[in-house]
Amino acid sequence: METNEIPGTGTQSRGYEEAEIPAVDLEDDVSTGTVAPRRRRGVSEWHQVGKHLLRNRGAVIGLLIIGIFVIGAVFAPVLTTHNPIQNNLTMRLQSPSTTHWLGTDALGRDLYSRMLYGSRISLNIGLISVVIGVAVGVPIGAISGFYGGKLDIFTQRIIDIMIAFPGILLAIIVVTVLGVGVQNVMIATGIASVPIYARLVRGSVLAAKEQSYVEAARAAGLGDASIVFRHILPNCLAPIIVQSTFQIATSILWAAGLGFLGLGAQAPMPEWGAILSDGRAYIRTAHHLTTYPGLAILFMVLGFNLLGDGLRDALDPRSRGN
Amino acid sequence: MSGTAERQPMLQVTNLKKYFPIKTGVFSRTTGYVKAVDDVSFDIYPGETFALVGESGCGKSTTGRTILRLQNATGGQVIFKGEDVYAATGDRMRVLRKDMQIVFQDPYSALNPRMTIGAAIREIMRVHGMATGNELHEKAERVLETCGLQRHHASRYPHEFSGGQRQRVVIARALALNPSLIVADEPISALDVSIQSQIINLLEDLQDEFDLTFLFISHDLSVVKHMAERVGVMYLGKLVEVAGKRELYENPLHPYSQALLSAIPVSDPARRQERIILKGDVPSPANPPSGCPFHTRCPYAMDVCRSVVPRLRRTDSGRHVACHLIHPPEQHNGDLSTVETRIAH
Amino acid sequence: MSELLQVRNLEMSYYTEGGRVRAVDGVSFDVEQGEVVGIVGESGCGKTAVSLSILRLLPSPPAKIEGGEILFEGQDLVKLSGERLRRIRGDDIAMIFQEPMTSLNPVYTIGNQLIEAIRLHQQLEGKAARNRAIEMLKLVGIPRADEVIDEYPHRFSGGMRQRAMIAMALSCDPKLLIADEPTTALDVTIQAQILELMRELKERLHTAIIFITHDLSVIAEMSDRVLVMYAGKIVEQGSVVDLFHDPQHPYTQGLIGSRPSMDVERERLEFIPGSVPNPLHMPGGCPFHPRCSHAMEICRREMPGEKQGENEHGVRCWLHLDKSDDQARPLRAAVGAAEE
Repeated sequence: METNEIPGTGTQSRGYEEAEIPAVDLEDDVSTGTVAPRRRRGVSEWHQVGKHLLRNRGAVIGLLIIGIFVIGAVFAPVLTTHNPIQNNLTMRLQSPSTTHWLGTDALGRDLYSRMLYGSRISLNIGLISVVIGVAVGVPIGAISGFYGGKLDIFTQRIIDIMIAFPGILLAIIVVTVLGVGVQNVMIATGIASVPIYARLVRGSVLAAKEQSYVEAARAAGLGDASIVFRHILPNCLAPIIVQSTFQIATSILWAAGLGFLGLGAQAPMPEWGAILSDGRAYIRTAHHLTTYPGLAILFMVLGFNLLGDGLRDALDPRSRGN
Repeated sequence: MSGTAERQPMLQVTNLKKYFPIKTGVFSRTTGYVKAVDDVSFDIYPGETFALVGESGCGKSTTGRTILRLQNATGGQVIFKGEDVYAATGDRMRVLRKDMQIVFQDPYSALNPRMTIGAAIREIMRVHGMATGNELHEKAERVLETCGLQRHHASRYPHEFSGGQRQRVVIARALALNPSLIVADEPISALDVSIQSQIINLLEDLQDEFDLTFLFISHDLSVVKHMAERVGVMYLGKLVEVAGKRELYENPLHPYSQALLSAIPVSDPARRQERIILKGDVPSPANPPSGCPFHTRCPYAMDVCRSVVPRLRRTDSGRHVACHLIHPPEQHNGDLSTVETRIAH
Repeated sequence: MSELLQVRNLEMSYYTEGGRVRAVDGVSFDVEQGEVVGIVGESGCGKTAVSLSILRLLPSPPAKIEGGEILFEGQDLVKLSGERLRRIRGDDIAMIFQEPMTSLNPVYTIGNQLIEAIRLHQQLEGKAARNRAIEMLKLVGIPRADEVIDEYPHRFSGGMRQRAMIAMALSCDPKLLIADEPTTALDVTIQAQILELMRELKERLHTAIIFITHDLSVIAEMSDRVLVMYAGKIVEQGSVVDLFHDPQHPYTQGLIGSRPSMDVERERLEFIPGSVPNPLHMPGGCPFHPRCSHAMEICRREMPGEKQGENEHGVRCWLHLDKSDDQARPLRAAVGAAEE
C-alpha cells in the first residue's frame, strides 16, 4: 500500500494545509487577489442580514411605509399647508378639497396638517415607549435569567402577574395613576411592555447561557459583567430587535386607544387617536374625520409589523440558509 | 508507570460528587437527585494524558466541568498543583483558571458568533494582563498560527470557518493563556472522520511543544487508546476502573470495561470477533440500581453486588478496580474459586 | 445470485438559494439478494441522498432526480407512479433512520404504529395483526413484548426505540432494508447489541441491507461489499476485504489510515489535509484533488472513469488509469508556483 505522505515544509506539518483550502477562502481570496490583506475585516453578520431583508418583499413594503411616515413627521413644517391647531370656524367640517387635502374637522382645522404632525407624536410614543421597555425590561430579564434561583422565581411571578393584565389595561392603570398627557402615555406604554421584554430576554439569556462559548469565557476567568454584556446580550439582540419592531406598532396602537378614550394627548394636540375620537360624532356627515386617521394608524402598524416579520426571518440563521 | 507514581500529581481529585437536584411543582421543590458524579477519585500527573471513557450520561463531562469549577461540586476535593480549587476565591481563582483550560466538543457553539476569533482570543489574554496594544494582536495571531491557522484569520468571524478550523480556534483560545492542564471534552466527536486525525495530531504536537497535561474525555475507545497513557472507565457516575492504557486494553478487569472494549467494532473485516453483548440498557442516573451500579447488566453479578457498593481499590498490580469479583467484600465468604475462574474467562 | 436493485447513473440535485448542489452525481451500483452493501463517506458526501432517492422520499423542490435508473426487480422506481411506489415502500423496501426518537410518532403507542404498518402492507386485521406485532417485537429482542406493545415511544430508551424501528421495518418482510446511520446516536454497548441483532435477522430473514454510515469500523463489521462516496460520487467500490486490505483510492487510504487502530500502535495518525468541500463550490475535475497528495495536472481538469480490477474492485482515480506524461505532472508543485 502506498503511504499517504503529505509533501510540505516543516511549518506545514501541523495540518496547515487545512487553512489553505477551505471553501470560504476560495471565494474570498479569489476576489481579493492572491495576497490576503493583513487586517481584512471578516464578513459581518449584519451585512448578510441587511441583504436578506432587502430581498424580502414584505419587509421592503414595510420599510417604505415607515419611511413615508418618518419623512412626513420630520418635514411636517415644510409639508403642511395649515397650522394644525389653529381653529377656523368658518371652514368647519369641509370635505377634502384642493385647499384642504383631507378636509377639515369640527373646529375648521386642516386634517392633513393635523395628521402629519400627529405622525410625529405617534412615532415618538412608539420609539420612546420601546426605549423605556428595553431599558427596564432587558436588565430585569438578563439578571433574572443569568443568576436564576430565588431572584428569578420572584421576578418571574411578578412578571406573570403583569402579563395577566392585557397591555392596554395596564397602560390605562398607569395613566390613571400618573395623570393624562402624552408623556405619561409614553411611560404607560413603556411600562406595559416591560414584562414582555423581561420574559423574552430571560428566555434568550437562558438559551445563550448554555452555549459553550459562555462556559469558555467563564473558564478563561472573565467576570459576570463581561460575560453578560460581551457574550450573552449581543447574542440575544435578534429577538429584542424583532420584538421592538412589533412593540412600536403595539405602542402606537395603545397610545391611539388611550387618545381615543381621552386619556392620552389632550386638545388641541393632533394625536391620531384623539382625532379619531373627535371625528366619531360626525361619522355620518364627515366620515373623512374617522377614515383617514384610522387608515394612518392601520398603515403605520402594518408597516412596522411587515418590517418585524422580515427582520425575524432575516435574523434567523436557519431561514437565511448558509 | 512506576516513574509517574513517584512524581507529584498535578491534579488530585478526591471523592468528587456532583448531584443535580430534580425539581418538581410550582415551587420547584427538590424531590430527588441525579448523581451525575458520585465519589470519583483519581490523580493526573504532569505531562501525561489521562482519559475518562464511558457512555453517554456516565458523568465524564460533568467530572471535567466540576474540576474546572464551571459547575460547583456537591462534595469532594480538587487539588491543582497543591492548591484547593474549591477554596480559591476572586483573584486566586482567576489565576487558577488561566492554568486550567477547556476544549469543547462542539466547535460551533464554543465560539461567540458575534466576535471575530482574534477579538475572542485577545479578550481573554487582556483579562489576564498577558499583553496590550500591538503585542496583544501579535500574540493572538501567533497562537492561531501555532494551531495551524493563518494570521489573517484573526479578523474573521466563526461562521467563515469549517468545523475542523473552528476546533483549531477553540484550541488556540485555550492555548493562548499558557495553561498547564487542558480538559479536552470530546474534542473530535463532532468532526468529520477525515478531520479528526488532524485535530488529534495537533493536540499531540502541542502537548510535546508546550509540555501540556491533558484530561481527555471521550466515548471513543480507539482514540483514547491512541492518545492516553492512563484511562479511567466511568459507569453511571462512578469510576469502575483506573489503569494504564496497555493494562486496560490488554486485560480489562472490570466486567464493564471488558464489555465496553469488546463492543468496539474492529476496522478489519477479516477479524470479526465474538463479543460480549451486554443485556439491557444503561439505567437512569436519577434512579440508579442499589449496590454496584453495573449489577443489572453484569454477566457475573452475585448476590452481594445487589446490596453492597464496591469501592475503587488498588489491586496487587497497582491498578484500581471497583468490583466485588476482584476485591471480595470482607463480610462475604463466597466461593472464591468460582470467582477466579470467572475472571480467568 | 440475482440482482435485487440496480442503480444506474443516478443524478440528483438540490436547488437552493445559493445555486445547484449536485448531491448524487452519476452513481451506479448493484445490490444482490441477501447481501449487505455498506455506503461510507463523510457528511454531505451524498450517501443519505442516494438512499432517499431510492425510495423517492426527497422533498421536491428543492430535490430533483435528474437522470438515471433505479431498477428494483426490474421496475424503474424513478418512473413509478405514486400509488405503486407507496406499495413498494414498506412492502418491499423498508428504511430505518439515525434518530429513532423522531422517527416514531410520540402520540401513538409502539403497538399502534406497528399494527398500522402491518395492516397496511399485510392485510392482517385485529387480533392477527396484534399478534404479528408482538411476534415482531420479540424477534428484535424486546423483553415483555406483550406488555411493552401498549407503551408510548417516550418510555423507550434509544436502543429500544431503534429495536422497535427495526421491528416496524421488518414487519412486512421487505426484500431490501435501508439503514441510514442506525447506530450513530447510540452508545457503544447498545450499538453492539443492534449490530448483532441486524446480523442475526439478516441471516434468518435473508433480507438485503444497504447500510449507510460514516463509521468505517461499523462498515467493516457489517458489510459484504462497500461503496466509498466523496462529493456525490462513488470513488471506490469492492468487497469489504479487498477494500480494507488493499484500498486503491487515496481518499479511502486516508480514511482508513486516519482512524486510530485498536490493534496497531502508531506514533502519528495519517491525515487528509483540508476539509470537505462546500457543495456550492465543488472543485472541478476530481473533487478530491485539492486534498490529494498524489494530485496531477489531469486531476484538476477531468473526473476519471472507473477502472475495474479483480473481484469487481472498482476505483475512480487517475493514478490507476493511462495518461500522458504531460497530464501526469504532479499538481502540488504547480499549485505552489501559482500561489507564490
